[in-house]
Parts: sequence; C-alpha cells; structure tokens
Amino acid sequence: MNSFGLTAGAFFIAAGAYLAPAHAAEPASPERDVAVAIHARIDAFNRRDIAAFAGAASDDYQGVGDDGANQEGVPDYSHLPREYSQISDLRDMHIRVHGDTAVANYRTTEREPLGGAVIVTEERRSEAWQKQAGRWRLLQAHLAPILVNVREPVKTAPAHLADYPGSYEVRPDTIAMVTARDEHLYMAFTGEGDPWQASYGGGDEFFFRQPEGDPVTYVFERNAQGRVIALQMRRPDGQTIRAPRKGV
Amino acid sequence: MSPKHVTAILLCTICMTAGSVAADAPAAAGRKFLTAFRDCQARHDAVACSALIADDAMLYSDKGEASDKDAFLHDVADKAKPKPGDVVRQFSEPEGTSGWRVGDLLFFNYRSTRSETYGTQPYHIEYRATLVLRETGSGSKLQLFQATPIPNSLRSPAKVDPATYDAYVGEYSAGADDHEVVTREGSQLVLTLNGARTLLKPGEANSFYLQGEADDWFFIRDAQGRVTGLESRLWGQNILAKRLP
Repeated sequence: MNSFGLTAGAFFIAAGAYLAPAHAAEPASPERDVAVAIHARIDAFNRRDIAAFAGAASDDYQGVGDDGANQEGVPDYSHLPREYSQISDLRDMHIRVHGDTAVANYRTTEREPLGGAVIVTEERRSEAWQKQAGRWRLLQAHLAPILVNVREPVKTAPAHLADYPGSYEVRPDTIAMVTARDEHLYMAFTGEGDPWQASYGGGDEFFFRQPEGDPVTYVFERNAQGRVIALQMRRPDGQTIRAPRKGV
Repeated sequence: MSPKHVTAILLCTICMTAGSVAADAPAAAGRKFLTAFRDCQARHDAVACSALIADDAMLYSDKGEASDKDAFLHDVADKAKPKPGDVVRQFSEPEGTSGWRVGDLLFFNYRSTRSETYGTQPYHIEYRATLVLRETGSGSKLQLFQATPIPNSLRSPAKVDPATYDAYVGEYSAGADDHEVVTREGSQLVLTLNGARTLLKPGEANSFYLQGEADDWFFIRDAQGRVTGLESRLWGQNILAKRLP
C-alpha cells in the first residue's frame, strides 16, 4: 500500500513485440529500432509477458530503481496482476545510437489502482542498450521519480492571509518575499524571478502545484502571541529549513 | 530556496578524465572520471569540462530535469560569477561504487551526499547516480547521467515513548492483496508490508516514515481515539488501509 514500496519493482519495467504508433511511421533507422525495443519491453510488462520482458534485457542487466536502490537482474513480476500496475504515455524520448550501443531517456506514467484510488507516478528513465545477435537488448536502466505534487488545495481562501506578507531570510543572501493579493499568496525567492502563486493547504500551510517537482510544504510559524515569525520549508524526508521573518 | 534548490540538479556530481580511464578497472576508471569532472566544475573550467562530455550527451537531474552539454557548460561558466541566491553545494566522496564495461560503454554507479547550508542550517540529500561513459579514441566521454534521491536515508527519528506504540499494533488492509501487520518489538515499531519487514520510525507531528521510502505514514483515529487505519501520504496521494477486526 505504500506507493513507493508496493511498486518499487515495477519501476524497472519496460519491453515486447509492439510497435508504438508514434514510431510506426518513422523511416527505418537504428534510433527507431531502439524506440521499438523500448516500447515493446514496456508493452511486455503491461501484458505481464514475463518471458518477453526478461528476454528484452541482457543476461548481465543491472539497474537502479526510483528509490535509488540497486537491483541486479530483471525483477520477477509474475506475481503482479496486470491491473495492479500499468505503464503508459512514453514520451519526451531521446535516443543516441553509436554503432551497436545506444543510450535513451524518456518519461513514463505509471498508474496503480489501490485502496479506492489510482496512484499516479511520473518517472524519468535512462537506459543503455546493446545490439546482441541482431537484436537490441537492455543493458542498464536508471529510474528517477519526477516529484509531481498532486495535492488538492483546500476550497476556502486562507483565513489569515494578511498575516503572512513579509521578508523571510533563508540565508543572508537569499530572501523569500511573500505577498498577498486576490485571496492568494505569492512567494518569490532571491534570484528565482517572478513570484509563484502558492496553493493553500489549510491552517498556515501552503504548497506549490507544478507539473514537475515540488514536494515541499511551506508552513508559517507563529509565536505564542499568534504572530507569524518564520517560514518553515518542510521536505517529505523530514528535513526542515526555517527562514526567520525579517524585522520581527 | 525555491523548489529548484530543494531538489536541485545533481549534475555537479558527475565527472571524468579525458583519455585516461580506458586502461583502468571499470570502477576505478569511473571514480577517476568523477573526480576529474567534479574538479573542472569546482574550477568553473568549462573548457576542461567540455572535453569530458560527448556532444550528444543526455544529462538528467534527481528532479528528472533534462539538460545537455551546452546548457551544462553554460551553467559551469555561470557559476564563476556568484549571484545572490546561488546555492553552494558540496559532494561527498562516492560510496558503494560499482563499474562495468559493455562494448564501448563504461558504467559507473555510486552513492553520494550533496550538502548545502541555509544560514546555519545544514541540508543533505543522499542520492544514487549512474554515469555512462563512451570510450572513444579521443578519451572517455560522458554520454548519460542520471541521479535518483534516496528518500529519508539521513532522517533522524523523533523521540517518542514506545509505550504509545501499543495502540498501533494490529493488521491493516487497503484492499485485496494488500496487507500490513504492525507489531511492537521492544522500543521499535515494525511494519510488515505484504510480507516485507521494516521499521516504522517516528517522524514529526505523529507521522512515521520508512528508511529509503518517501511517504509519511499516519495512524488514523476515530472520534473516540481508537486507531482505525493506517494511511501513507506522498505528495498529495493518500492510501488508507483500514484496521482489520
């Protein structure tokens, strides 16, 4: 049920005999052949064709899962029902072929129905392939999650929006400028350009919904009198950076 | 300290020595390359770095952000003129290394920790990276780099009275084929998740975490204070496992 724990194995996924429509129309080339092999491997996983999936990888395959753990050999997914995990939306694919070896990188979306919800995991995959006996086989894969914050904002506007605007010192040369307008909170960090609109998480909590990457929760800290005295940036790994409010 | 900083690019961790690694054992060659590559970045020597990177290299950060040779070299040169808000990063020596060759490719896999400082507050991210080098007549060239953060590996458990764990002991399930068993073993809370046993470590605000996993775990209580569920939460996606009778 842990979204990482349950699917840690599935992150290695990818293979088969499937030609993706996007590549079907492309002229024959080594890059196209590698793309076909990549799609086929993913397709084999989705069909739980274990033989095709394992056979798409080299005998000495090694990989890194999206939890940063090493894995040797192709994981066995024979126990994982098809409907429990499906990989789709292969996109942003880049392939470099040099002779009989190739490196590739692409994005995927994994969907796992679980506990009444569908857990969606965005990933980026780097892979190395080699042509062995006329067939492209996967040598190595390295996966990384793309930290998409899918948290839903609370429906109501922050009750105490006027409490937050000010300057918060992350470091002496890095200031978080917090402003408010039209019932929304905005943050701008030194050197980072225009202010970003924050989503409201309830209480004194805010976060950013971005297509790629911000798992941080921003929490305004109050003193005993209720005055906002700092901005805490809480990562999901337990590390918190505290930026004291200037002038307090 | 925008989100960009929080999970910043790890490209600075890559390295390589042009032309001199081919004869070394793979892991030693990879380490040598990494040292040289870090060195050219530390010196903001874009020319030296350029000699180590294939023209068609693909570089991906721990956030999944894509970069290429030109963008990377621009960043190396740009860092020579520090600006307010720039984050100074340091990287630990690679650990848990392995290297292997297949054809003209050399793979180097390692673990390292990136450290930053915010005021007086240290900040560390452990990650695993893979370098793929292409060994050419003009030396080894970086062809591919990707890093993956290792969640919660550096997190310290909060101090909690283990007696409170007794209320959590039980079995939970989010549905068919999902089964969690929570047990107490002395001062430790143990989660057996679909057969795999791991420690549930106390975090902040009544949350728990697993070493190497990114989600936070919360025991859910009803109005009477009875524990009725176990929920894992990850960036807005929550899975509730109900307590089994």
